[in-house]
Amino acid sequence: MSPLITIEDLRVRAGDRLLVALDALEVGPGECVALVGESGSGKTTVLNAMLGLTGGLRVSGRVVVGGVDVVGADERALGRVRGSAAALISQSPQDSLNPTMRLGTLLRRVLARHGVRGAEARERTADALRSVLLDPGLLRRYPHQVSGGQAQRFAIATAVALRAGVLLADEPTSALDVTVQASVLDLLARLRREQGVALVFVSHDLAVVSGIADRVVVLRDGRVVEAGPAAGVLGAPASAYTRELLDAVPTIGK
Amino acid sequence: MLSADRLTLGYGRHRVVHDVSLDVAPDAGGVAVIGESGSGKTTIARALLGLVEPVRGRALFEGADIARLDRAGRARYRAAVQPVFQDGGEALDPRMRVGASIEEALRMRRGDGPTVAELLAGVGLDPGLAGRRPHLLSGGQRQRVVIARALAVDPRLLVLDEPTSALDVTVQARVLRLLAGLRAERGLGLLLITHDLAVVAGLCATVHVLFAGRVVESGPVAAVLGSPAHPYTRALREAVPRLGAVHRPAGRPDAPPAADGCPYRSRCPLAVDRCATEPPALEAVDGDRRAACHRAGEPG
Repeated sequence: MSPLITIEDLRVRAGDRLLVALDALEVGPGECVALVGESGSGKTTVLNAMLGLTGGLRVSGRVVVGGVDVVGADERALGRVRGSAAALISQSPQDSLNPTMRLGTLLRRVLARHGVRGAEARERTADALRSVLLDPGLLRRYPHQVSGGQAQRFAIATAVALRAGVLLADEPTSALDVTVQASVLDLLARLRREQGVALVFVSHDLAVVSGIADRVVVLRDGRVVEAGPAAGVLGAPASAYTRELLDAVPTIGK
Repeated sequence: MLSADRLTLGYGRHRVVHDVSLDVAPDAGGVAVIGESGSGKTTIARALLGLVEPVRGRALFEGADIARLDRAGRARYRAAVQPVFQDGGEALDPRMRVGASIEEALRMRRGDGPTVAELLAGVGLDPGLAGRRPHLLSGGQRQRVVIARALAVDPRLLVLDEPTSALDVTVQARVLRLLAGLRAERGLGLLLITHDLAVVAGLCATVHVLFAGRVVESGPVAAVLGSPAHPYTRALREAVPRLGAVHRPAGRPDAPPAADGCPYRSRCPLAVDRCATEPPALEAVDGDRRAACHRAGEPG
């Protein structure tokens, strides 16, 4: 099957400073690729480049998402990519929801912006809520009236309702309690299995990554340190830096 | 040195902590309070720092009520107990270079102390950062400045509220190693407030697990984490991500606590009729371990 995301020779610069150099990356349907690294490693910049969210930065190369090369694309083309081809799942979705609107209104507006209205919108909403295990009564609430875990499920439901082929998840569980984190990770894994949704998962936590990723790309200072199947990179890391990240994972048994 | 004596805490008419007792002392291993968002753990820390007036019970420093310390007692308290909050960087004076902030704290100390450069290096920061103002540092760098500043006073005890949850795992590991070293070498007392069981294991000897403002299990870390007696502790333990292990959570991890009977019954896979009518008391299970569960110790 053809990849949902293809990156070739991506370079992101701030002025003359090279922030990211990524020669090649492909994400296929149902696949989960993790971008791993510390703050400043460029992992979020790569994710933002996939949605053309690189205002003020100089971007070159090819970043093809859902058939559209987002490098140099105009806002109209980007609008088609964002949400429907690939949807962003941020660390604290509550911060990006308009606090004066009920969740139901927010979801209706997002769907309308992508041309989904009326009975079709209602049907997709009901299906999406069911697949993320949220009670439809939640749609009457305002963003501040739901928990962090519920807000994250709602963000994922929005992506599901838009039929996004790829979820771009930026530390999606690091603001959540561990028990809620486990249930959100389980939800993401289930969406991959049942609906073939692909996942680009940005995290600094290799223990979280090891439970969900097929492939891992380790980034440091914007460069790829190591990349490959998750079992290999995490089980037998080739670079000292990956080992350092692995050693930093706190364990109960230690 | 620092004690909660049957503390009940709240805001207005709303109660968030019920009848919690614990003791923290230097040379005794760290003490952890574990719970999720809304469990009341931060409010306990705030009461022990004298920032929240108890509804019932007392917050004690060296046996004296913190709310009623005299001038000398207050000065001793400030020299002995230092707080580190999750967003501690917000508390740095934005106009002061971070080196000056740390020097200010060093002046509170009696006798010779480390230099600013040594303190910064101790938390894994480049001593060259001393000349910067806080807004030019990352969140993780600011948090480490706050820890360096707290250590500059040479406290006997740190009250740490989620000190590393905003940090990268590598920086977290470094800060945890630093704290474990200070505890081992200088007997620094630690009260660690966290939602993350994994950071407790290397740092603390005693743990209190909090759910809906009540201690549901407490005791030595090895016993509580090794073989949890309360189903909530078990759920927390199983939810910790492990390398190479995929966890399939059961039940409803974000169901709100039940209003009557056992508060955990709304999520509990073991709940029976009795749990709806009779709140379980915190009772001895084995050794120094106590749990508040009608089915404590039964195989889960």
